[in-house]
Amino acid sequence: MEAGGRIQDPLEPVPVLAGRPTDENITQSLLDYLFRPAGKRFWLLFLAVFGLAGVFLALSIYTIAVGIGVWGNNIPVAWAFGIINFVWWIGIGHAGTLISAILLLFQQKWRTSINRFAEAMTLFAVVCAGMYPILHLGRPWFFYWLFPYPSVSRIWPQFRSALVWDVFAVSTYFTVSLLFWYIGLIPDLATMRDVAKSPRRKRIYGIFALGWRGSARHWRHWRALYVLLAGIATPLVLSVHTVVSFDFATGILPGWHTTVFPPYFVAGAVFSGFALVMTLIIPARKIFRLEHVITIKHLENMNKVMLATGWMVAYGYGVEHFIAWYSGDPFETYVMHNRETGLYAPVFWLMIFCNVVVPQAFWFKRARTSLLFMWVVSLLINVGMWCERFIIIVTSLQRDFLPSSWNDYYPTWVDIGIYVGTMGLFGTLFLLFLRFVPAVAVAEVKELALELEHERRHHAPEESAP
Amino acid sequence: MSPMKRHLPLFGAATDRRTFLETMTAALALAGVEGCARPRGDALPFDRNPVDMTPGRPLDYATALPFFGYGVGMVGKTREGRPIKLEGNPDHPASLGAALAYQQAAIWELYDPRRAKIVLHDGQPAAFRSFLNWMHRKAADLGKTQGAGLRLLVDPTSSPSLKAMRKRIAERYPKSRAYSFSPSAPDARYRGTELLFGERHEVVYDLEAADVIVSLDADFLLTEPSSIRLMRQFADRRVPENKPNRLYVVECSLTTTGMNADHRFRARSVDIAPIGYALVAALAKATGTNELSSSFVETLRAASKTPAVERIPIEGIARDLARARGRSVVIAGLRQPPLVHAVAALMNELLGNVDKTVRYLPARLESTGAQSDELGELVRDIDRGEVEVLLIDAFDPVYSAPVDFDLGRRLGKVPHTVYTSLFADETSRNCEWFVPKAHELESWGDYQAQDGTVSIVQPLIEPLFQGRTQHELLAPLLDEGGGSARELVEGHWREEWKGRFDTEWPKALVKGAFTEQEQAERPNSSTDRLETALREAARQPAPEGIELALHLDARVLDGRYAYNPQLQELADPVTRLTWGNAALLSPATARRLEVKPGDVIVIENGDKSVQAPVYVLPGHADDSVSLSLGYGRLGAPHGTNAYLLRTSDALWFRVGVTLRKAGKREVLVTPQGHETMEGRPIALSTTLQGLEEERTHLAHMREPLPTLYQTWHYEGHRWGMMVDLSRCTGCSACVVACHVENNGPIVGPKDIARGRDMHWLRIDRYFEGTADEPSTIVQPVMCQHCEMAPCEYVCPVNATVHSDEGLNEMVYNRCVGTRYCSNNCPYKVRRFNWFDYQGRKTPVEKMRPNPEVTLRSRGVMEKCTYCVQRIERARIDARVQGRNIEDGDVKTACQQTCPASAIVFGDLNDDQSRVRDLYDDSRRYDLLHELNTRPRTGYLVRVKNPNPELA
Repeated sequence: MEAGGRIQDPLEPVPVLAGRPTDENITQSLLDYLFRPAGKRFWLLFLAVFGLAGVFLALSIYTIAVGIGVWGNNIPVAWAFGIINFVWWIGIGHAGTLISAILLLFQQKWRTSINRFAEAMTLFAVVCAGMYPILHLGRPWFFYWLFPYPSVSRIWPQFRSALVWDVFAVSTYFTVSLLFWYIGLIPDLATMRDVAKSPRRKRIYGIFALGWRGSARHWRHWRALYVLLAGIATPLVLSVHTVVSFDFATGILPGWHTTVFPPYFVAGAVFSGFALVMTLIIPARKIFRLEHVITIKHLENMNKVMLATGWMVAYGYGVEHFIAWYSGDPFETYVMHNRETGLYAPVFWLMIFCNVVVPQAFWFKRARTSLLFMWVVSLLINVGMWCERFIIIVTSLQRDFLPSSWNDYYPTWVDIGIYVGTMGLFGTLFLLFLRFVPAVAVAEVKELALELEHERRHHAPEESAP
Repeated sequence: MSPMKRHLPLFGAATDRRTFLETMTAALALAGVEGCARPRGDALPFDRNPVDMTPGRPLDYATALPFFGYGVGMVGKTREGRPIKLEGNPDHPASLGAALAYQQAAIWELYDPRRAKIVLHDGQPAAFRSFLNWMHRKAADLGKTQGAGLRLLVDPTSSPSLKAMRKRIAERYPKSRAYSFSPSAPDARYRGTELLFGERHEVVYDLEAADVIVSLDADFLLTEPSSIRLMRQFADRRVPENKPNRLYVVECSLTTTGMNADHRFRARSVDIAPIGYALVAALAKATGTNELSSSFVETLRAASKTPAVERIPIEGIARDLARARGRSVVIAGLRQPPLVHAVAALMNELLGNVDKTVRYLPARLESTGAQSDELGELVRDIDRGEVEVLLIDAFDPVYSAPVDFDLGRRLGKVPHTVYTSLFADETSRNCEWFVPKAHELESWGDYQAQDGTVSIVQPLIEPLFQGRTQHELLAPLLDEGGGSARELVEGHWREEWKGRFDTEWPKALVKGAFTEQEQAERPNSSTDRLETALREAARQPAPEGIELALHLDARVLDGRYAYNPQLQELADPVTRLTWGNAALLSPATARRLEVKPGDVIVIENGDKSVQAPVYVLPGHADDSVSLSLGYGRLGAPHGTNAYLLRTSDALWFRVGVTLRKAGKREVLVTPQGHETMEGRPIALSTTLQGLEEERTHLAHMREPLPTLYQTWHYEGHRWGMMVDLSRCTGCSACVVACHVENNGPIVGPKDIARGRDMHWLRIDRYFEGTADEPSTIVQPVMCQHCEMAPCEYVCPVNATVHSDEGLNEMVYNRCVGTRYCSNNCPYKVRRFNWFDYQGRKTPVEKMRPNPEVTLRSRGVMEKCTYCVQRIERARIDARVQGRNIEDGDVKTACQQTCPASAIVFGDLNDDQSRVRDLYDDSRRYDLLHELNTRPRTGYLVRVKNPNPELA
């Protein structure tokens, strides 16, 4: 793909914005679909995911009414699907924050087209993740006891517990993600208000646009706040999954008590998050005809990130096993041995295949640019990362210190139903997002278009050369 | 038949309107009358408090429970009139303050809502009065014929008053007969003494003085009449300071006794007898005795020619026994035929053990011969049509009788049958009259222990379901002027004690045990009868093929405890199975049959067959399949009913059954996940010879490791617990005691299989060595109350905290159920309420819980508290009396019931306490010491005493 007959810059081989659209073009192309009535296919998809969300609701009520015993957990495997899914969803969310906040700070231009999308994904993933720690409590109605609030009993949370840190980490993460997403949306909501035809829509978008008029002052304040929030969100990318990893690393269980967990978890989170962004964005850009803003370059860059984080994750696996062997600790060694050869060895090897072997294809440009291939890979990585959490949580609990208490874990239909149900919840929220909110940051794309135009005019003397 | 027709035969086919209205009017009027009936007796609130009762304080009453027909003295703790816990009676020689799981679980039987509540006549509810009327009429009829048609089928009992009553019945109805039958009766031992001495004797072992013990298939530590006392005596001699004894066990399946052996040899049950004969012959040589004629020794040798004998170092054992003359004992198992018992008795004679380690006393159980023979006579009587009235007061005979007797069908041929039992069961369905029985804890009665000690059974509560005692059932036959259950028992002792009654009776009730003066018997042995029997045995060809071995179950015994969910959910001490039994096979036999654990096999004995899942038991004898009795009952349909294979000619074992795969699999329900320690230092054992070396190693396993955190300091008490693995036999009494004391729930087989066992205290059983000849070690594991507890720092809501006396306390109402504490507990002693296990109790079950222990709601974690309620009770008592808590004031439930005294609890800050003694013992080590959790519960290494000659 060559733009304007230029010779391709090897470092910027593909443009981050196809063509030279005007502002009107951008508004029209990015917002048009929001005003068209939803198609039949949309409704079918929506009904499917909404039905699954219903399953989630029903099974949650069932769990709360009857008891956590309807899940497959036991002693010693007291944590299983609930925590696996929690970590998995939280991990997925990380890509959104990484793309929007860190790439914003690094002024990576290519982020603009996908950040909104990724942020929404973050938000909904955290919503799904947040369901699990509450549902998996023995007495979910007392979940608020984990928050430090001035109660009459004057009992505070136990601050040495990683679960309390978790509460802070996740709730902060959710708050900041929500704010960041919403603040970024304001100019676009205003655009929506301006272009909306029906008065009701104008009104609703108007309320959420908070009286945005696009004045220079507004822009200045907005930009300051946005960058500030990006600054706040950036450490969260690292901290949330670090704290989540503390749930395990501060335990004394062989297979959990590992210092490599924080970086390994963060890398895994980014890895899985990018994978899910890919899974969703590839069909979405096709359906909503966003190929000109979400170009193959975006996808290729993301594949590179996945290749890199995939290696970090692989390093984590390596270190875990190496240290287990090197320490000579019989409990530790046994847990690793059990992962490789025990009851859940198929899950372990599936994890290795999905997370370590498959991403190696991205060394090749053809793989990085093939839509179908990268979509399949992204799905596999999501599977692999789920397996990773299963392996970490279940196999460590299943074979701990005293062999007399060893026991295996099998999920029940409720476990599986709730997991699939949260996917429905996620899908429902995501489809609603696509229906009502611009999926691509319109204002930022316009800004990008202008910036690119500016660059062409002033910084491209070679452009005239053949 | 529609319900209407069954209950209202008033209406014919053509009922006119007038008749219908008349009848219905009468019915309505009478329905009102029913409401006018006054409740029986008076119910009044306490106007003034009874002298000895303080609300909120438990009251203890001495009573007794039967075990194999003998009495075990118990002390029942009642709260506001409800018995809530049983403990052994320290003044009773068969209890010594301890109790086994069977006794501990009795409270659950008492409050079982499934207990029979109403008299049934041909399956229809009837009034007890109509039964009494019927009985009196029948008694009058029978009196005319001198009781020709009267038969009694009774459990063998030691009860003096019941025996006297039955004797009076026999006198009044000279042509009547009483047969005794119990599938677990210890009749073989009686008949063994008969074979050697010419008369039946009670054989009472005394292990206190025994240096060398040889068990020929005897599970004397758990499933024998005096197991509690024998376990205490055995365990007292297991600690290295106390001149350790040495135990040799030859057995078929692995039993609790076998797990504790210093040398264990496996042999098919049928091969035990030849091994016994060979041992006598070897002993004759080793002792150089001239008491045995050479022809007798030759006969012994001839009878012991089987390959099984050669696998066992008979000579070595004999030499060891010979070195311990007068300080040794040979015990034959109840499953073995009388000949083996006679041989064992002969060895005790040769070794001069009589009156030292074994005593002969008058037989306690009334029984005239082999149990199956007696039942066989009843069957013949029935077939001849001689039985008109059959009174059954025995453990579910239709279920437990040898299958070839087909008792269920035969009972149908008896015109009138009367049966009494706690539960409606197989037998009650086949009987004309069924009378609910009063539980022992609701009854008056008396029992005798093996050594003759009598205990009066006094009720701890009025019968909950209007059950009747055994005495009450027999009383109408005697027509001695009625009388309540109490009067019937009192009457006997009034007669017995004559003028002393008024002083003796209250003493007997308070103390719970008294002994009538009695001379030990010194019977004369004669080997003549033995020699004849041995000649006969020698002529039999050595049995070949696969053996079916039936066993008493370590949990439900012969099935009489099968309705008790406490015992069903208790893990078997050996197999660790719950809620059912399994076909036990040796690893080699399982390999040969190509079956894996959980595969269902069909066991065929002639035309009878049952299906059972396979459990591959290390240390089981090859070519033998073991099945324990007592499962597959009507109201407790768990496991396989082994009685379906039990025939009158082979009550315990038979060679020549066939096994084949059924092509199905079944889940073996067990709370234990893995059978070996995987080389980890968990349950440690050593030998007496290796102990010195081990001590230095153990010192490293109890030293606190350095820590960065602040440690706790204790001004007052510092509670701690020591478990002596040398003493612990794995009998599991503590597990049930803990569960009853602390209101543990029963979760059922599905949840156990899922890994949701709720026992706070479990017994881990590990195999070491080879699968064929494993050595076994057991380890009770409860909350270790760590000083640096991994559970405490991970709880997000402060629900598990350290107390100022060192307890790791669980605050149920603060717990939200993250289960993080359990994940981080390296001992995995925490238990979670996955469902509302404590809810949905019937009114009767609501009477059972210990009011001093919280019932845990759904979704909270729970675990061993070191019986904190008992600590608080002792604290209150001490404060009221103005003193400090002294050593021994606080006994945890597990400690109190432990027949082996393996668990000691107390104050580690008290230099004089027993627990401190053990804490400072050089045998002590911390479990998972390297984690530096600094547990409060310490373990004392197990010391075995193998024979160096055989090592």
